[in-house]
Amino acid sequence: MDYDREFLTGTVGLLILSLLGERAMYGYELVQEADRRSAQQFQLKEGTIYPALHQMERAGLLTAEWRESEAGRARKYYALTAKGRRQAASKRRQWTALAAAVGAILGDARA
Amino acid sequence: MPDDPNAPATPECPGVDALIEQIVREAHLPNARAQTDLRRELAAHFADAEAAGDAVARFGAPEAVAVGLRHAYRPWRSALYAAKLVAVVFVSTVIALPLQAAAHLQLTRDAPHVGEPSVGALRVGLTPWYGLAAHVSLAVILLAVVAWEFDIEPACRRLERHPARFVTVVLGLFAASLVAHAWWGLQVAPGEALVGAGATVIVWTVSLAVIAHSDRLLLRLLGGAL
Repeated sequence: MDYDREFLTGTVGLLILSLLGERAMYGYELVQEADRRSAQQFQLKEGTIYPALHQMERAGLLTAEWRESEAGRARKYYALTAKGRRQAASKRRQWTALAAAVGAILGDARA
Repeated sequence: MPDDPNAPATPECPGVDALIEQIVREAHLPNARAQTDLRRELAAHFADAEAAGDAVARFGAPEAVAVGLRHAYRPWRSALYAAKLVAVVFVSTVIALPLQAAAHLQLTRDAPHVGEPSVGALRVGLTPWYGLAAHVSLAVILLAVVAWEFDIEPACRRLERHPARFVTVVLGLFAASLVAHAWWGLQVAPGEALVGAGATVIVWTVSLAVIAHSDRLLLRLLGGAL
């Protein structure tokens, strides 16, 4: 499904923070994980992940380090800082409240 | 493409190399190290993505990615961050000083003059400890900023959300204050020490709240994915 850009702009940050809250990941892995968990409902243009990651790193929400895999391929892994964990918790609370409010309105509108 | 020994090998695809170079060029990163890092990161992405096929099409418009990266590396971000720190210290100090003044108010009575009624005039003033308390408050504010910015996690907990923890910290500081005064051979009324400890912990709590709010404001101003 193609989503309106205005819906996606606010959610990319939340998704990145939530996924990185579980473990450190590199950019391509984040895209693949979002795709897998949403059963291909949430398919980002893969390039858009990198500006978001760099913005968050510059804002102190993430740290980044290069790691080499067993196959010798180096990848840049991102992980949450404590600030990032606080921001993730805040965004998750806001999203939950917003989703409940919008759902209530849409539910009432249908009735 | 510059010969970077750290860059993973990308498949034989001049399109990918050209796309990466376009993004690095148009992102206007601040230095060569950042450019090399980005080049390496994008090359690693395409090395992973190529196995799934159609990597360039799935990547999206390089112009949009470059614009997003330019946004992340705007030079005034550092100035905004510095302004945030200055504002946090200023606002916290403006709150702390009157708070400590209120905690160190004392009523004193003037000695009566000869020939005047035996009861002297009542005056409101500050205890001798106010100056020290003001300096301690400033140190507390700066420590709170350092703890927050360097993610010293236990120190960043918001005490106002945990009343039991708040009371424990106040009592701990009160005990430490009594010990410190005894160590230096100074007299302090326990009530004064307790009020002073409470005021100092409130200064710490308020400072963290000011920092947290300023962080949210800064992230909103920086916009984008934040």
